[in-house]
Amino acid sequence: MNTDKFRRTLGSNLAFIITAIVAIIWVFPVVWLIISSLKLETELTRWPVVWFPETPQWGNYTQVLTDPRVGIINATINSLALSLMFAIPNVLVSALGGYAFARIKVPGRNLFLSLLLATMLIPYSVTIIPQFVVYAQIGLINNRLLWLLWGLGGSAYMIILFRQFYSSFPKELDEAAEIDGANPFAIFVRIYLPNSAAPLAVTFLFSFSGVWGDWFGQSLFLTSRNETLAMALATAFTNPMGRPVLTQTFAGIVLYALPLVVLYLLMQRQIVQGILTTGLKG
Amino acid sequence: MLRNQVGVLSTRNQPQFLGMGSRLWRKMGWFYLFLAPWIMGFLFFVLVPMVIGFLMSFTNFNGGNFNSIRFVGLDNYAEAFGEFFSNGDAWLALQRTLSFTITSVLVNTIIALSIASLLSGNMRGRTIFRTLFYLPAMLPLVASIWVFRSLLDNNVGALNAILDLIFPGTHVPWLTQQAALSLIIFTAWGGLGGAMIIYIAGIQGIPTELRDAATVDGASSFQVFLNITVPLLSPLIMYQTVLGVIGGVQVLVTPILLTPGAGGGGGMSISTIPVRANYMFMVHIYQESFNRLRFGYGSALLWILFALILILTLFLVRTSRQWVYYEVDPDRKPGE
Repeated sequence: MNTDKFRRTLGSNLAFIITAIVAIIWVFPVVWLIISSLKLETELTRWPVVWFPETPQWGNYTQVLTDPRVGIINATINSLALSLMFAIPNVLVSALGGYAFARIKVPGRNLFLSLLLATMLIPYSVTIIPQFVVYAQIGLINNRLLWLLWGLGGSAYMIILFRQFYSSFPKELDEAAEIDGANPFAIFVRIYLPNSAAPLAVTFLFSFSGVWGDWFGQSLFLTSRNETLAMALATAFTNPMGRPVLTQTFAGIVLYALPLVVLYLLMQRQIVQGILTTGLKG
Repeated sequence: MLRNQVGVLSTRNQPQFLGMGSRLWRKMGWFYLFLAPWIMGFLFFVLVPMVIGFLMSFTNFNGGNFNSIRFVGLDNYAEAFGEFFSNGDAWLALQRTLSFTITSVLVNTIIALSIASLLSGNMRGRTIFRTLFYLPAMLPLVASIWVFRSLLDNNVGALNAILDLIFPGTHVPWLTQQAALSLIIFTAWGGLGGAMIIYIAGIQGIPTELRDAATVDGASSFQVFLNITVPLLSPLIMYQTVLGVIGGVQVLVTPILLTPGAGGGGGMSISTIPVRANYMFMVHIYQESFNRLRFGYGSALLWILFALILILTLFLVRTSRQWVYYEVDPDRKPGE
């Protein structure tokens, strides 16, 4: 009995140590990013590697924020505008679609549900290049309205998420409201929407961070006139002599990533639920 | 209250079948109205572009005006399949893409399953560990790319510095000569968080009696993992594998950004050509379409990729009967 207990304790300690080592490896790149953003450029580009800066260079951050050549304020506004223009309609439209699938039973519903699921298997690449060709012809390139239009189309994953969520609502709610003469849209707005804070928050975060963190779509469909943070930070900042300054670039990267990390940390529980319902991974 | 009763009365007074009919029509109206945004989105952002892309693949469209378009029949497809038989760029890129996809799905699955099984018990600090493993998934792509470019740098990178402590004189050119490996490491790092969450939930859904019974019978934790956890999770593993393969064969942005070839410079540009080892199929499609302005040929390659994705998905689903364990237990209620 005693040896058995000893073995179990040993086993769980070993498991803890292994997990801790892997966790350190996984977090190390993020720590490296933060430390590098506080180094002098000469400290970052020296061999042997300087692990810690002699004095933390907070100036890297003020430099990034104030340098007019970087234009980080403008890029932030652009990123924020695109993300919100996409996320807000995307979440609302998806909630409405999920409500229709969960609560309105009509012929053709299952057909559309299958269609919805099938679209999840269509690779984005098959649609993105023809979209570019068409938008180039009709002048939608470098137009931020595109993100609003994409958002208004909703998202299959999120419709599924809302459908699951709304399926668990008691039907009596609808029936009572219906007798009161409320139409389905009024029921959705007055009863369903106010009671879906958690899925609204998750889908909003996923759509928002999807655009905020996207680089491909923005560099394909926008030019430098509408430069976003992703586009601005994809190129290293340079000093007045035109040499790249990676430490300041890293400071910009920390500022760029920070809002997402904070939002994710605040909403961990709901995110786990969201991932499990859709199989979508953020 | 009065209004309610009036409402009930008035429906009762209507002829039964007419009332039902108009009610159904109204319900259908609401249903399709609510779904209209998604249907429009599907039409304009999925179906129409797909049809246009498909039509484009039979032309010589060069991205300019539509006046010079000529119908070229199956020429583009013939050229693509010609590449497959003559070791052309498209064929080599496809081979690299498949080898990346298989390796990276395997590596990601093994790491995620192991971490999930370690964290699904009641280990100290498991919530903190979960957050730490999910951290990379929170970062925007451009952020992760810069971090790994710096970590894996040949001259002043942290990985070489750490290796240098153990094997002095190490200068592995990760991003150039080990580019394929770098891409797999990068993908595994970012992909662990989401997969881990899904597998932890899956493991927690396995009845503990099963694992306990095996332990009592003298099975080691590793045997329990291999003979109980993995088979019971196989439907989930299957689903994640399908998603991983679909995403893997479409890999485009990470090779361009993480491992730019000569002339890539310090920045990240969409037209950068990655080093040879990471010149993937989608990169080739992008190069043919946007840099060489052969949109017709690019579209043909895209449709070959689409067909390949469908075939791979069907293959995985069909063969899943052999290796996926679908639980049949009439006594267990759903959600238990």
